[in-house]
Amino acid sequence: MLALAWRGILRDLDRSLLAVASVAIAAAILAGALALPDGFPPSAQIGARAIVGGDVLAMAQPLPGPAASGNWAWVPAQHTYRTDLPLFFPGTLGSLEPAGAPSALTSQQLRRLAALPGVTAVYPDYAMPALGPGGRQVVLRGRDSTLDARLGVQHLIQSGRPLAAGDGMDAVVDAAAGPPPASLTLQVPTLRGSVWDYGSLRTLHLRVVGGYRAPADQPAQVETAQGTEVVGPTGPESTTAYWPSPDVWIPLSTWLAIWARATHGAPFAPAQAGLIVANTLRAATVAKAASAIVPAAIEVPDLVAVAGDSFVQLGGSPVVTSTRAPGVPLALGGLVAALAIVAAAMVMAGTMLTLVAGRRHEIGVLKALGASPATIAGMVAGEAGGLALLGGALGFAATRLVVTVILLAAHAPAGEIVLGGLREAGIVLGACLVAALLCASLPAAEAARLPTMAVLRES
Amino acid sequence: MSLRAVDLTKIYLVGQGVKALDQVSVDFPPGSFTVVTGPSGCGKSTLLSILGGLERPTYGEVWMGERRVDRLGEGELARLRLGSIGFVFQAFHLLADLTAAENVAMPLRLARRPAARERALELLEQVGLGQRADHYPHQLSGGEQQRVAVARALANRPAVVLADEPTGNLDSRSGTDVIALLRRFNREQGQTTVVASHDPVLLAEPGRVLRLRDGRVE
Ligand SMILES: Nc1ncnc2c1ncn2[C@@H]1O[C@H](COP(=O)(O)OP(=O)(O)OP(=O)(O)O)[C@@H](O)[C@H]1O
Ligand SMILES: [Mg+2]
Repeated sequence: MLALAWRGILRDLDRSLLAVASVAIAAAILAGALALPDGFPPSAQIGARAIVGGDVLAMAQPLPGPAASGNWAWVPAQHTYRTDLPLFFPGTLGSLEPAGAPSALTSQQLRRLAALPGVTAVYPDYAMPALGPGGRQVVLRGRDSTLDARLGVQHLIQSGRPLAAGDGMDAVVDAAAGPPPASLTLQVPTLRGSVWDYGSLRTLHLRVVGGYRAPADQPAQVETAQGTEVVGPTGPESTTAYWPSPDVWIPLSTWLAIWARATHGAPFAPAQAGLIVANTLRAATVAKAASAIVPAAIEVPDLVAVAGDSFVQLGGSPVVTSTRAPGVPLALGGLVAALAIVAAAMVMAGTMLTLVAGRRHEIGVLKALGASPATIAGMVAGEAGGLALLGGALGFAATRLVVTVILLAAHAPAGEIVLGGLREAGIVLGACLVAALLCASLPAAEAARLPTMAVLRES
Repeated sequence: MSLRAVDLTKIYLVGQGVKALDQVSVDFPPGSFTVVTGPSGCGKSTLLSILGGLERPTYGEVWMGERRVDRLGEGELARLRLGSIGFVFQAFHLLADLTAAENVAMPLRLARRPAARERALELLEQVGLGQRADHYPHQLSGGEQQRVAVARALANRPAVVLADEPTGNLDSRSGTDVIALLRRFNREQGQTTVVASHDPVLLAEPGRVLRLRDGRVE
């Protein structure tokens, strides 16, 4: 039987190769479409990753839609400002936060996020309000220098040097307006319940080791986002304060020590955390898994896409631009893949019909010898399935090779590459097989129905 | 095994209808060797194809031993042909893509018998083609092809052998060889054998002859 099928394929080599090639092309397109919607290119995330410390943001509050108005409140010392801006600020007073009660991620949620496959680190948003020179609002941000090194956020440092482990009270400050000062005196309010008490301030003296300024070629122009709302004491220096305030970056250990003193030992509870994924190409998968654990989790480019209009409105120019229009490549890729599969299936059906027509005599003889209709139909379907699997495997292998190179370049873990490959191989080969069998069913039925005697009398 | 036709009628629904067989009743005892003869178009091929389950009668019954076969489903008919009936055709009907041995082995493979190739070689030996096992049909003479077809018909040790003009495409020498083969297997293995033919050599030999004319037994 196998010998017969094999020699049949050889005899109809042109047709068979055409069928294999068309299935291979369809499989290649399908494999590409499957790889397409996962995550985003690293170039899309650099600015956001530096600010937020993540490729995927996990939040303690659901995200408002872009049309929702006034869902977020920025509450500095005296005023409350309402905005559409779903941004990333400390989860208590003196910050931008969802309207209503502030909420925080639990340590159990953080642990579960860290355990998600594909997540290499969870960066809680270590941030607390502080007052800079002249009562200017600043945000004190704790940075884990080891994690930062892995995230590649040193690009923010334009002068001096990046923060390093063991830097003690050293800080990096906003250098947009000019060279950073050598030292900085800050005042930190005290946390009472969920309210920062600005009547009871602690004074900190920091040595400044560097300044940051977003590079000109970066779309993430943090400092160019001009606020229309003026915070704190009026004066030229505070007009830049909307987004939301300049950041002062200090080593995490220092930050934790200040937090402990300012809160009288209250445990730190972040309103959001950045998930660093091993491979930004798979960020979409991670975001999906994370949203089962926290109220909202979103890829950074998607977040920017959601918030983009607000940024433009407020600042006149986008803060972070996404290089990907979410959804479009996915839908288009899916459509193209579906069309390719349909086209390949039609070629396969044509091939099988010619094959049956060319083998009337052979099929008639086999039936006279006692091959059952099921055997005959199985023979035709088996041949279609075999050709489809061969073509599918070739096309998948071609695309997957390219995808694997990209994934390796993105430092994806080998296990994930293999598992993803197996999953996609299953989908692609399954689709090819199903399409081929569906299309072979008609020729197979026709072959099984051929009237034996009439066929034998023909020759 | 005995083979029996009762009132077989076959009407082909073409044009005004062709009555190829008209109430043919005939009994082939187990192990018998019968020659069916008659002028062209008298219904010999039709009778054999209905006896072998390749076609269904319009009326009448076909019995194989105690089993009525004309009412069997397609799958069961196929199983019956595979296990109990061997066909030899005038046009040989070998599978052109397969060698002689593979052709003979095909019924064995369809029946999932073990050692198909060994048995095929043994059968080819018995029809005098042991040396030609790996030749393709187009590399064999007509007489050799028909001997391969006889070997193939006997592969599954059928109880019934139906041969439709097995010598029709052969010269008299090859024809005689093929007939001798059929006779020998009938004698040695006792298949109920029915041969449709107007070959004078066959008719000259002793044995049972069934004469048909216009679809009726004479
Ligand atoms: N499929 C068919 N459709 C219509 N008529 C048919 C068909 N098959 C056979 N016949 C007719 O049935 C009659 C008997 O044909 P059959 O082939 O059985 O004759 P035969 O005795 O084998 O003749 P020959 O000696 O020429 O082979 C003929 O008249 C033939 O034309
Ligand atoms: Mg005939």
